[in-house]
Amino acid sequence: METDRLVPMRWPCGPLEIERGGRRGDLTSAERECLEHWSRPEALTLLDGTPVSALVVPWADGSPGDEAHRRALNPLVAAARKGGLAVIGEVAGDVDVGPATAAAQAAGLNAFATEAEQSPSGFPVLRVRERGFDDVSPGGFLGVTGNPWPGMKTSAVGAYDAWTGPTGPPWIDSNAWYVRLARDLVQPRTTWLWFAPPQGEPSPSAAAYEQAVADAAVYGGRWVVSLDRPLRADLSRGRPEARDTWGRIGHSLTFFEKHREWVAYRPVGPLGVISDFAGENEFISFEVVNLLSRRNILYRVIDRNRARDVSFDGLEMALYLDEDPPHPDLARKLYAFADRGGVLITPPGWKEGRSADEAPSYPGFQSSRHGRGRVVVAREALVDPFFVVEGVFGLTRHARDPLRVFNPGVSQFHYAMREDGGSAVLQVVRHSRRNFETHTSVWFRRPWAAARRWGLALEAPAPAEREPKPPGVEFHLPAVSVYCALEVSGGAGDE
Amino acid sequence: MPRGLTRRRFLTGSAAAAGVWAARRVPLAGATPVAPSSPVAVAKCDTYGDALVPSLDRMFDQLGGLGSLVSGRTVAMKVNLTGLPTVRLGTLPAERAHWVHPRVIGAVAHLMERAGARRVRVLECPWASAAPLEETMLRAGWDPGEILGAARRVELVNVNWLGRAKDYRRFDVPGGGLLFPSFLLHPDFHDCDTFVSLTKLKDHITAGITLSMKNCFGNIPTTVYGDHVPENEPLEIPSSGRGAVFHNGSRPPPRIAAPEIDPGSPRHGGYRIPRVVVDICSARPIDLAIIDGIETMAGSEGPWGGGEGCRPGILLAGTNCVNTDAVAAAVMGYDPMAPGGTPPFRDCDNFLELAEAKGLGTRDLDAIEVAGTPVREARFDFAPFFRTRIRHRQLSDYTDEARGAKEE
Repeated sequence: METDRLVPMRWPCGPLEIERGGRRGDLTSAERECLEHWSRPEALTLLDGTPVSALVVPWADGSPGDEAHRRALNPLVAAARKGGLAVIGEVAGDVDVGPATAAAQAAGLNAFATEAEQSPSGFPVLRVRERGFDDVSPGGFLGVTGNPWPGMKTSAVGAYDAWTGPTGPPWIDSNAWYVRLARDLVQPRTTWLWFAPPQGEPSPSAAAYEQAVADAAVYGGRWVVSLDRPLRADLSRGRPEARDTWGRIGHSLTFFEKHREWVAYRPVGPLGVISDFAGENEFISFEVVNLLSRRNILYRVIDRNRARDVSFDGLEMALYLDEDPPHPDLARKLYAFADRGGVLITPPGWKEGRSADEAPSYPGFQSSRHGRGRVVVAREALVDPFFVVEGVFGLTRHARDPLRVFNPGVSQFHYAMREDGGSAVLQVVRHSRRNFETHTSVWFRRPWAAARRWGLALEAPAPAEREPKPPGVEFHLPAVSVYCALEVSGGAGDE
Repeated sequence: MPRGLTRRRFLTGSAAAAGVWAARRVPLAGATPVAPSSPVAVAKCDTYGDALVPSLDRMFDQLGGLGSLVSGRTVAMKVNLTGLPTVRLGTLPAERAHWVHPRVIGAVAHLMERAGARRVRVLECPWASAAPLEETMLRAGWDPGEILGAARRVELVNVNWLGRAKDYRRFDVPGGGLLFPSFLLHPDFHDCDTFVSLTKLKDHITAGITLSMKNCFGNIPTTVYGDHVPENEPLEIPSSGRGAVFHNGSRPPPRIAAPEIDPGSPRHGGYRIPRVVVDICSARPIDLAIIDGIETMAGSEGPWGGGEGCRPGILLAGTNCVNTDAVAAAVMGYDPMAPGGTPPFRDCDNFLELAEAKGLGTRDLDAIEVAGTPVREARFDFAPFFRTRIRHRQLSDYTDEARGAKEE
């Protein structure tokens, strides 16, 4: 089973799910009806016209009802397999997979998904785990649980999304940074994120579902689509609003499947974040990358263990995060980077530059000149990710920004370039709906000759208005609702 | 008045809608001292190109020349770069909407050097940032080199935190303030011989209009007066706006700063902000007010409040900030004598009235000499642009109760 081609969706159904609902104590008749409906083959028509190609069905949770549940699902599994869908059985982490395996093989399941570390012989298992890469093998399947539902955390009521002053950035929950980190560090062929929509009233909007799809897909991950209970129930009853929401989810999935080539593009980032991203360094390095993404600071992840062989071309700033010092060769490389004009930010204890810096230092850091660049040494251990990222933001010099996004609203963006440098794409996932941010403009240092704009609802790309703004070029976009991609091409120059 | 009936209800129930505010106004301050008056120069200028420097030059001559103000002196010039540098009104670059245009900054610096200024320091508190002011400008798409190269000694200073300075300086409000008795500001506001407020011609959601006086609200560092400052000491790095201390008064400043004079005063921005504006302009007086109205936005002070871009094609300058702002208000089509509760001060008190009462300057157009283009020729009406203002519920309830007026 080639998981990297599969578009997965959780498919709650059958007696096991009904029993769970009963235990939960809030199972409504509509939900029960839905769970029964989704156990039947005819429910699969819901997937017509969508790229969903893998169903994740409940398979075993160690309860006495497991066996009856599996028998009840046999027709559904058979129909799904006949229809070309992969079927993956979800097995609770503490379950003896032996009996479940035999039933799975008999029913024609393709694999198990489980948090358990045990693996039945001769049957594929998709291991799902909490965040971290300590024992992840490169190139395989990475299933991740414990992810937040992406979106903005609202702190106000009524028409305002999150009122933190005229321009203050509210908090965004996102998994995009983690997908990117995984890709840069362990290069999984497949990254699936397992998170469920928030349950309760009101149900997530269609836009919120689109954000959930985009948040994972921008960096090449896939959200294991999971619908909230009222939406599933409404879909089973054929309610138009639910059909509309589901249609938009399907469009989003289709869009990102059509543009999988963008995943291979190289992220453009003037900041290099150097760490081994493991062990005692995991917390600070993960959270720094998380916050950098939220602040839309363009960065590249550099694995400290491979940093000696990584090109620093295009970097303006290097942030070394780990408390333990680098290999002497890497240290020399980092100081040479500063000598050539870069800014090197380090934990305390690093040798400062050769002369005092005329510019005021940022609070908490001591800046000194080193050749044509600067060495900036933190005064205290780098243990607070917020402090680190605020420092990076304050120390960033913008004269050579590769791009500037105006009116991003509450959004996250990702700028990546094709390997040959002939084109690039800026993807914007937007989380706010405040109405003053009517247009977004993007200035690129590189004077790209043309741009076309993609949106989740656009059947074909639309041209973007181009305005030369030397030394670069600016493109103007209409209001971005949830997602927009600006694909730029042509024009000479580098970043 | 019947018991249990507020003055507002009584008036709205018994008077015609028009003129209600004027009828129910209560004096905003005590006896009005004689308010000074100085000439205000007004010029039509519809471009930031070649005509800009000659226009400003002529205006400064109409005020008596820059030499007496700047020759041999260090000039501090507070510019108006409000909000984040990446926020635009639609696709309009900030300088064509809510920020003073960099060419105006450069032109003024150039003319000041020509008039003998020793150095020109451009000051601003960029939003929640301790980064150098150049970086804020770069993020907006500006080339700070255009400003730095406009004269030999131009410095750009982020005054929202101390930077290299050692300590904040205390500025007392002469005679006591309306809301605060003193402010702690960056020492560059003290270590200068001439203080200039260089701003934009705009409406303002909370204060009605924002001109040279309201621009100085942005003198106040958020490391001291920000929302998240600890009780006992200032922050090193600015991280927020000033809403909690000033707009809604939900918290006091930290102990190193003087507390509000009357903690029982109204907590409404429409009451508080006009008074803070007068206090700050009393504490750090403006020696020269310059207003860029060539291209601007109307309806609001920034894109977050709605509004539209417009091209009044006007420059104003004066040595008295109240006089200058009063004439600017008239150019915008507003009556500087308008009472609070009427446009443009529909959700607030009139800070010009408060300033006049404080003795900072007159707002009476009959008492102000206008040099250059007469107001009637310069007039560009801002009122129609209210159509695109985003209404803020928390500001649209500026009633007698909110402003603390007592029943008579």
